[in-house]
Amino acid sequence: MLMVDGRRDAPSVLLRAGIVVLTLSTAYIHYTLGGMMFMANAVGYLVFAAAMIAPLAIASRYRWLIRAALIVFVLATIGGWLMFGARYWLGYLDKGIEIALIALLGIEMIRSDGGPVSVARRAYDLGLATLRRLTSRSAA
Amino acid sequence: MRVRVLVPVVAFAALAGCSSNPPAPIPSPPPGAVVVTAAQTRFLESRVEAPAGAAFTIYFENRDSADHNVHVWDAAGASVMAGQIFGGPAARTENVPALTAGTYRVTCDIHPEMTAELLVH
Repeated sequence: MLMVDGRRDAPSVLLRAGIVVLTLSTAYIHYTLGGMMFMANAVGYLVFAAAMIAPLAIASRYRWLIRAALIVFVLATIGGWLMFGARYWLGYLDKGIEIALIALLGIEMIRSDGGPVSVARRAYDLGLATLRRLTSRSAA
Repeated sequence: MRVRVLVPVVAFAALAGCSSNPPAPIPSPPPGAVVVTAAQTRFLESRVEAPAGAAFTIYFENRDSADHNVHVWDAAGASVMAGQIFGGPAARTENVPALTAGTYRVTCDIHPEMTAELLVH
């Protein structure tokens, strides 16, 4: 039986599978467009897809952050398309995939992390703790 | 455990490796057409020329599998002609209306880094 971050229930597994499939789909579309910018975007999506399912303790611990970072990455990609992107069928298809991806990530964020406010608070605490660690290390 | 990490990588590689049917033969450019070629995400011609005051055609050959088009802009940044976006290897002929003498910019809507100059005189 497949397991997603300690959960074995079908909705959790399907949700994560959907996220990975959509991430890989948009990675592939960007890959086919060629050019450095799209290739970098495809690699970014590929790394996120792997990070979303990597069975490593550190990835599992920071899955909430990976999920949030992927949402930011997708939003940045959509923003880039709105500003500079070509308006044609492949662009619209890809944006549809990316919007669906954000929806699934949002659902998973609510189910696993308690929603965006909770994630923002966690990210703030993590940033603060990292800053404290860095300043105490440089003071020592 | 490692298998789960490899799933997206393998799936992506499989998708990337998909090949389509052999491409249709590319037609020759019509006489008098301005030839613009896209290859390796750039226009091979840095400058092309066309007559002023008369409609003309651009024969656009896309040698990449990636999608490209030709989009002609005047000096003020107004769109003069936007060609259809298509994947290669393939070619299309685009009709351009009569233009006044001057220098125009040719770009690809998908790859803004692809640029060429159209000199109308």
